[in-house]
Amino acid sequence: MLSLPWFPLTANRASNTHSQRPGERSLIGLPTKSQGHDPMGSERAHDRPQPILRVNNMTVRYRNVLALEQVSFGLDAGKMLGILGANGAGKSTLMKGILGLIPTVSGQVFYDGQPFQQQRHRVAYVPQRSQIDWAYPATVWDVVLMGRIRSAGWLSPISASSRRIAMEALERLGMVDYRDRSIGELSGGQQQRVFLARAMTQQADLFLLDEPFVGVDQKTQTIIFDLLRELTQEGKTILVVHHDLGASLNQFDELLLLNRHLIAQGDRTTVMTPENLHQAYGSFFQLPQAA
Amino acid sequence: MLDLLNALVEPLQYSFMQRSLIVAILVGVICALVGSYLMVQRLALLGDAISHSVLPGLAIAFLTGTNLFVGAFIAGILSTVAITWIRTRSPIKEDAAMGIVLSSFFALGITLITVIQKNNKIDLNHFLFGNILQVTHQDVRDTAIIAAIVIILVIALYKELLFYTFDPLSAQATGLPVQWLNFGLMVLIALTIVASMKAVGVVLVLSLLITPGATAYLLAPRLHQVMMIGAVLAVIASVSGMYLSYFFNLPSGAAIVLVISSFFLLAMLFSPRHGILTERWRDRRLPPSEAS
Repeated sequence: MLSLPWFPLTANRASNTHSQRPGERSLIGLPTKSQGHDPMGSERAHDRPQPILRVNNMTVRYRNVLALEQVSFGLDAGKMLGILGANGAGKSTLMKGILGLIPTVSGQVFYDGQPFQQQRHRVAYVPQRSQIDWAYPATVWDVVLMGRIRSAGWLSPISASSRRIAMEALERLGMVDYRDRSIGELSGGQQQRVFLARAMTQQADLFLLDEPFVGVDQKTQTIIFDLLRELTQEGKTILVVHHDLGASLNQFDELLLLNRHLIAQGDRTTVMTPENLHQAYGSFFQLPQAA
Repeated sequence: MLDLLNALVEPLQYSFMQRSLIVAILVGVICALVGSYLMVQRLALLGDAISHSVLPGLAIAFLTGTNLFVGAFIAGILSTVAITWIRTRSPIKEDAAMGIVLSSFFALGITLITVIQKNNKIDLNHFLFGNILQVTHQDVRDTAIIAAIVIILVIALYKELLFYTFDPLSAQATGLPVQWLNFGLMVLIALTIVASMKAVGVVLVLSLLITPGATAYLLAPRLHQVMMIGAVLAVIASVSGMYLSYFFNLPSGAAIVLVISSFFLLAMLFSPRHGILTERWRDRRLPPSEAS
């Protein structure tokens, strides 16, 4: 089993003044047609004509540990992708690498044919709940409004229309009654719904959710999956780092199996084969009964 | 009653007392504002590190005849750079990095000032423990300018700093320049500490930075409320600490710190939200758990 020597580094939420060295994640260049450039030669089925999200050869190193190695994949618009893998397989690292939150050794990310960093206003991210200090003095309303800070811009207050958007997001997640509650007083599921409401207020086209189902109740899980389903029907694209290998896998359009390198991507039957799972989780893994 | 009023007005006829009260109030406000960020980010030790690190800057500024505030500010910023450098370029964690930088800068400062002291009229104790009763007109002006800058920055960057200090990853993901926000925060902290040196000294400034915010945190659920309540408490503590110091001939920095610390103790015991005694009292008033 992989240990996690690098994990304290990613979990360190303290000040990060270090400037990213520009050369390390230069995004110069045009989207290359690198289909079938899959190093692990997985059962990569049908050719996708124009994936809206394209990740090319992403490699990430934390000090001396290789966290991600040459990961390339694409995802079509309107699809929900589940990213699976053992602890330390690089699932969160892949997400942070895509978002440009960590320096990458190599790799380019394109969204809608443009370098990802120019498309940030179209992206919403929900970090792991464990990365957040829930004792922070903020209410549900404060947190949801954070989703409108970028669109408000510097030195200007959050507009009335932004407040309306935030209110609608709270309604959609059934959290209106909790508007003035401290975030620390909420249950894990309620906290996750608040974060999802914040992501909704960003009015993004691409959603990246890191372990949104950890420590949430069944009710919240249903609410979140229903919402994500609605979003894909509106044409939004969604990436979810996921840990449960049970029935919830049926909710995803596509799965991606990771163990520092990409093992497989595709629908459930192509990805969840015994060989792939062995590569991802080691020999003691037993496939849960399909639901 | 009239006696009490007279007693309160009496010190105000001295211009040194007027000046020190103005400085105490300004310092109380900005320490509470900026210190709230330190508290919510669990970076109290950083406040301590920067405040101890300004000492060599003071000494060098004195030697070269520059403004002491400028020297102290530069040293404070350099200390945050050194902490970040150690943290990012070695496996040493942040708290250890702060400890190393704090003590080495502080030692350098003590050494320099002790050497200077031999030939000049400069007193190490004034920097360590403050000397608010001797602030000059120029000190009042400098403190007012720094306070204005700090207050304007905190208001102007409020929503971005709220986002960044609560959830730095998401803030960065939305494209906020988090490195600059972090640097801005360091500048705010260094400015505040520099302005507070005269009032309470570098050893006790941590109290003014952390305690008002921590006290207000026990009373209010939102960051801007924590800041405002903290500022009010800090002003009350600064003014009453000054009067205590005047009437009982106590060291003023220490008197201010003792007042704000007792506020914290009161909030700890009696806060409606988190007070130890309030919770016990509430439990007793509730009917003994309905067993039915």
